[in-house]
Amino acid sequence: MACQNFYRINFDKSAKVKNIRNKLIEIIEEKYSGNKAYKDLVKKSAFCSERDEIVNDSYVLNKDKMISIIPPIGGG
Amino acid sequence: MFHAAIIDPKKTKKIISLLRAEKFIKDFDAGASIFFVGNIRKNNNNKNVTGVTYDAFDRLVIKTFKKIYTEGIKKFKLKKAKVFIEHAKGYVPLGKPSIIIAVSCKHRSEAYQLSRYLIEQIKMRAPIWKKEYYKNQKSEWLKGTAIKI
Repeated sequence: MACQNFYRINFDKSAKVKNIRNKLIEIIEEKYSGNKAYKDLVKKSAFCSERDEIVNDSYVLNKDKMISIIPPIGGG
Repeated sequence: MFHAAIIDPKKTKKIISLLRAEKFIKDFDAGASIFFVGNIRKNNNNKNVTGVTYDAFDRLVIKTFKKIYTEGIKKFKLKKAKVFIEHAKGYVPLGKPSIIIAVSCKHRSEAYQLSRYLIEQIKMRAPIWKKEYYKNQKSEWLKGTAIKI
């Protein structure tokens, strides 16, 4: 997104994937005028745990846990 | 027996290969062999395609291929089947293969079923992305679809 390489998002306690997704959408609303393509990208992305497993929106992230974002796919 | 790999010619010094696939699935107990080859086609969304660059989350792709294979074996109640899957990574020019799925089974019906199941599930679940290059020198990452959990 633009020229910034990362965003730092702080949560009070542990966060669910759903919270991260919503926070990213909030950032897009604020900083990118609610760009629809960016929002669709976040909505359609999956999240992947450190164990290389796709996790759903209720997956909880505790301190130091890592997670990666899988954008919409198109292989084959 | 199962083989899966992501082949990046820059790293592996080899390209995906039908010969390797044929060798792997060869089995005198199998009466049917199916080879599915996905190629780079000339036209997509009314644009003249000259090539595609693939990117992949390799570890998760291999894990997903294995999972889909296991599901397929169970779904079609196959006691014996050999499956070979290789997907290209990096630039693939027009007409060249991006994926090879080779299957050998005892009978043709199950070989067709398993082969079809594998490619359809891969399209929906494997974290692979593609950027198309066009004749007008432009290029774009395709929007793709949400991964199926």
